[in-house]
Amino acid sequence: MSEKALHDDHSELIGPGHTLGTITDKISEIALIEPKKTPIGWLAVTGIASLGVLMLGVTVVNLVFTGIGIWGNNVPVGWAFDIINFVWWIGIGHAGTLISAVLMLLRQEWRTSINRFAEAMTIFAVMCAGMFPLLHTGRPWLAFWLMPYPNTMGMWPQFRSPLIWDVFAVSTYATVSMLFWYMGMIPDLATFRDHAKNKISKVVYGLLAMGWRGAARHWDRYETASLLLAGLSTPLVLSVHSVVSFDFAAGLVPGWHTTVFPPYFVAGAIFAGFAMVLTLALPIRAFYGLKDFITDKHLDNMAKVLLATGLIVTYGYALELFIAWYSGSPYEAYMITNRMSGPYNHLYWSLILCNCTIPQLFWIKRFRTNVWMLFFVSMSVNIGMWLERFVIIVQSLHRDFLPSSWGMYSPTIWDWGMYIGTIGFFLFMFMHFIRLLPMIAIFEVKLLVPRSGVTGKSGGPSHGKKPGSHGPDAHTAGAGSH
Amino acid sequence: MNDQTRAKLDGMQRLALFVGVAGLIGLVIGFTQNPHQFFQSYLFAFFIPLGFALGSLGMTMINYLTGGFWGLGARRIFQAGIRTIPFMVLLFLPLAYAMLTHPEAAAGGDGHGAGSWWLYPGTDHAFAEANRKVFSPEKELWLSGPFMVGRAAFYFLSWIITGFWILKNAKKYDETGDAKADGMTRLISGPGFLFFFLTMTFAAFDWAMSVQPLWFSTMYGVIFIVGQGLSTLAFAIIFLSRVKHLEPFKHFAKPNLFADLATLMFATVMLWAYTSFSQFLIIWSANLKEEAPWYVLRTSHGWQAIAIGLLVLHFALPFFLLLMRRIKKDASFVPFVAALLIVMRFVDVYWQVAPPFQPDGLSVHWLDFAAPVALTGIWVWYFIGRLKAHPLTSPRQELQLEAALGGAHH
Amino acid sequence: MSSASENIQPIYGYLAEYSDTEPLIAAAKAARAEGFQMMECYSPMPVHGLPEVLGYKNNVALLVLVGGITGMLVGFSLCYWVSVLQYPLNIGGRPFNSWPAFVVPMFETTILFASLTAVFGMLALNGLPQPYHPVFNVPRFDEATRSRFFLLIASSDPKFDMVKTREFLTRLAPLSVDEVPH
Repeated sequence: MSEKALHDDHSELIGPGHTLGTITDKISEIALIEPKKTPIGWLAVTGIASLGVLMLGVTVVNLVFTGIGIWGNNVPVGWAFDIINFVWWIGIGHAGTLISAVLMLLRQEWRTSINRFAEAMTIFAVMCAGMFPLLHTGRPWLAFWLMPYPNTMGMWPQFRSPLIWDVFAVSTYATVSMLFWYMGMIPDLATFRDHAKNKISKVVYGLLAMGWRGAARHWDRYETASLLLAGLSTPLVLSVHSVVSFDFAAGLVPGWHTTVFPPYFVAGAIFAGFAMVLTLALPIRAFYGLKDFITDKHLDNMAKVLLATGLIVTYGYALELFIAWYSGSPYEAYMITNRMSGPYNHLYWSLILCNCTIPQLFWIKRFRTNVWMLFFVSMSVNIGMWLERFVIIVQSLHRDFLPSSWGMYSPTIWDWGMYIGTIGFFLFMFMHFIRLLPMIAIFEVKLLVPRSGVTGKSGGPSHGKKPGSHGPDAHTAGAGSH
Repeated sequence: MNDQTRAKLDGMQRLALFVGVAGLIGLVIGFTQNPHQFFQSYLFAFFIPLGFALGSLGMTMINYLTGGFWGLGARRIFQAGIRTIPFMVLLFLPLAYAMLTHPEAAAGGDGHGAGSWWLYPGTDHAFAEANRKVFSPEKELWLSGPFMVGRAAFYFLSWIITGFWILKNAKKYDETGDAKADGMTRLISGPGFLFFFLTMTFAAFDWAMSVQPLWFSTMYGVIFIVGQGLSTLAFAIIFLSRVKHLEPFKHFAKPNLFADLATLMFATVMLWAYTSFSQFLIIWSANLKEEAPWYVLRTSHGWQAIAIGLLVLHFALPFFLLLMRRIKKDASFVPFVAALLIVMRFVDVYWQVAPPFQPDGLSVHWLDFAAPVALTGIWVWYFIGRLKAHPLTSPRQELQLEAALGGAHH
Repeated sequence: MSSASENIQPIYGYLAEYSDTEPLIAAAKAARAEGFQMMECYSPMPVHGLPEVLGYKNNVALLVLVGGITGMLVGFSLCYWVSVLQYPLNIGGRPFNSWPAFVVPMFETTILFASLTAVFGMLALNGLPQPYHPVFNVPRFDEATRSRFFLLIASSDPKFDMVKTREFLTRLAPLSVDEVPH
């Protein structure tokens, strides 16, 4: 098995019988299909998602006109659904960057067929995430005050606050993810430009492709830029969720202030993100018949990542418990007791069940490739990671240092409306992405095709040969022309 | 192994033994003169060979889980490293002795430092007094000598069993090509790594974090383990560079192996900086009296020079050097970066462990040099012995390496 | 031959078509050996080894390093200038120059500047966006983004000759040779 993996054996990553042409046709067909032939299933899902977008619109309008009093958060629980959902969404986004950047650096070729839509997922998730803190400011139209710029008030941001770090981290992350995603699509957009039937599509894809023509010099700079961007995105994605964790850890609230938060949040983000990738990939794979590109091997690998990151998260929970005891701090000890037996304890135990217990099913190989089991576990992680943020944020806040300030939090209909609304918005954007853009990186999948199958000559896999081994041929050809 | 390789390894082993014994003599003299200083120096010096040995175990398991040419190329080195874990038990004995025989220094000293035998006389008193904080009876029990030694025995036993089990299957696979044995190595590595990470975290809490028993940080174990990984990678790079021209290393110790290992070392340097800085930033920001004194102690009274040194030489310089692909591939330059990092590993551990013993500020004792020289020398001697005791290659491994090299050129 | 190149050629160049990377590399090497300089290859995915054959070096990495260092300096100077010089505030007794806190924004601006340099630097060096290019006039060139590989010898090459270059390309066993109109 390991020897097999050592050979550049891509047979597990791509279905049999594919050539450069069939890959292009199969993948671009999904987006280039005529508008009238749009599948009913797509219309149905997008229709439901549109309802979510409407709901989001209504809640946001009400919020802006009435104020954040329509939400359930109030002293002592000043952060609730808004911040839970912010962290949840941004965590989901991280898997996209991880798949596209980290796995690229690690030369994990199995990423190629899932990276594009994982990146798209990142962008839409960051959009959903960004909405929450902006709306939480209460006056989102003044959000630009967060930026450092010379103004007539003579005021500047306060750089010791993790909240301003967050502004820098999240906006950098949104920008870089967008660039990475768009840059990754340029060659495939050129493919669409050249093969779209429809006049309007040709023009639109043509504009987006910016005149890409696959020149060797362009490819070379493009690949360098991609690798560098991957190298930059990797520490970026670590920093973003670390900064999110600083929002909590840099403060003093028991349950928030603990040093392991940065890596543990990052692992949690990857955990949640991979769960979401699976949640989206499984139905798409079935619906569009993409089993040749998202193979059992992909599912197996993603399940392993879920298992590993789930264990890191569990390590974090365990350490919190141990240090709460070891520190001898009564506040820490109370926080943990309250977590396990306080009013929100059912959420804590549910999160342990969803995040720590259920993913252990993936120790069994059969479950890692069973579609239903994968879907079950990934949904459980989606829920578990949301609960984790609820427990960290609400449960830590609701017992203030003075018992006179204790309180309880329960979400209002507007909290739920906005949360469900963002899920609708996310799906809405995602469905449009699938319909309109290359959801699998065509040119990267082409690199997985055994080249000898295309030419039909020179038997044996081409990977072992270096391009330089053709030197003598070239020489003869050159000499012959004199 | 041919004669040339054997001669080279013998020579290296003799040198290591010579250096190690010279250091040991120094240690013995030091012990008779100043037992307190002896234990303090011994403690910090102990962590680097421990890092080589346990880092080898961790890296082997990671490599079985993720695959990768780097692990194949360095496999024999890591395996020999795993074989030194029982030897680390021997090196641990002085510490166990101190744990068991110095309770009076701890419990008697100020009543707060149960188990923290090496604290005496330390600044931590003043800190403890000022906070008027005493341990709970449970924590006193947790940090008591017998319980500490008992836990240490458990940790070592678990590492030895995991290592032995992996080596057994790896050997079986090398000799017979039995796919089941190969599968077993991976099967063990999953839970094995998990268990290793947990036990190592607690070992780091027990042996290093508890020098200031009132201080705590959930990140501590992670920083410690990342440091071990870094030490091991640096050691593997240096060792390979010494033997890269010899049978059988010359077949695979090529620029791309150095590049792969150096890339990993680069990533580990960044991970070290990330975890260390995060811990610092969180504690600095919150500025709590339970936590901040740890950094106050380490950034004043002369220790700030070491802190800055760590920033520059443990992070900034290696970072910029390893950023360049040209350097990562350069088998004659990368070992210098690796050597710098190993030296900085000692400095980092010293900076973490030694300050509470030096209440009047940084004062380096000559034993602080003798102890690392002694323990590292003696460890390298034993390591090379383990390396020589087993075949340096097998047909099976050569096949794997060949396949990997073919792919690496891709 | 060289005198001909100084005239304006009637076409932009010749485009030879191949079905795979290896014949393309071989052809490019042959053309290089023949002494052609104004060449370009087109392929649906990156082909390793081609840039070396075409004799070209890219300097995207250097640009990105400069971008990153600029971002780092900008980030830290911004924090320092705001917090120490322009708008000093006492926040919980922390020093005005709270460098540990400034590391985070500094890190983010480093990444931001470096990434922007990577993408826009790549585009600028590639001369993109470019609304018009003569190769698009060849109908078969649509396949360059699907499954075919092309070698272009431009008429601006000093060795270019309407007849001989075509003959030369034909000898390199392409699937087809097309004239690329201006």
